[in-house]
Amino acid sequence: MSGDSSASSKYSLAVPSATRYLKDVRSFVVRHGRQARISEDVIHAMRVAVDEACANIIEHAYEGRSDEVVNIVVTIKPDCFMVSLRDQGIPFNRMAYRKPDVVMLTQLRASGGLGVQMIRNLMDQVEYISEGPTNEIRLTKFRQRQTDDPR
Amino acid sequence: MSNFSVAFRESTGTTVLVLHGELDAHTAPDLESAILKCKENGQRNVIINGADLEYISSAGLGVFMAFIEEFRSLGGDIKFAALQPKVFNVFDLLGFPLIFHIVDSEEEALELFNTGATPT
Repeated sequence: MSGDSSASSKYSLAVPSATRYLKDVRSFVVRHGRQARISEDVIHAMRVAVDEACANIIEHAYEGRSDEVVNIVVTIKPDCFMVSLRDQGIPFNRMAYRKPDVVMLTQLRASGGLGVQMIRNLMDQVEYISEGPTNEIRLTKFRQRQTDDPR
Repeated sequence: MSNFSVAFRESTGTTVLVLHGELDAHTAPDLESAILKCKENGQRNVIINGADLEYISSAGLGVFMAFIEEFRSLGGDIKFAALQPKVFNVFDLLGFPLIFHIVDSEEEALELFNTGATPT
């Protein structure tokens, strides 16, 4: 992990691609959000979004394989709280994605298909970046949109 | 060690599942097992007590989504009581309060079972 005292601070964590590490990923995000005095509501939104993104990487990008790695970087800037997650698995196909209909999913007794929409509803900005074999999802909450930030 | 647990309690013909800890993609199978156990035991009216549930992700919501129609088709339901605000917000994000019966207390949920009320 590393951090600096300039305008931007970054903290990184690498975890195996197994769901038992999701709680560690959430704790990492919460810890650095609190250190940066981000509001609890924003920290909670980021905690859920990062959990969903990481679970999707494990299930879809790595197809459940637990011997791969997910890299997480928390970036604190004066204007935003950002978390990026990187993997080397199957890229997310944005073109094939359809917003879920929860009434229909419930009737169909489906157990999944909610995570991406959850992320989009919680975040101010969601970016997908692919560079060679590496996929990145970048989740951002802008700090000026917070109401209880003392800045 | 798991950071999630489910306790069972019987309350006038209704099974109460008391959830504790964090419900995510890792712990959701524990919830699934608990609901399957209710189903196998012929219990149709289930209340989820969320007073000690500190966290939920879509994997947890997915377990309820997968089972609730089955309970309803058998004349029962899964109702939710005493959810913490942050957990309720996750249900609310995708519109689940319109599909699931979510109330403030276990007593209210019991009353809804007694009156046969369904979500609007």
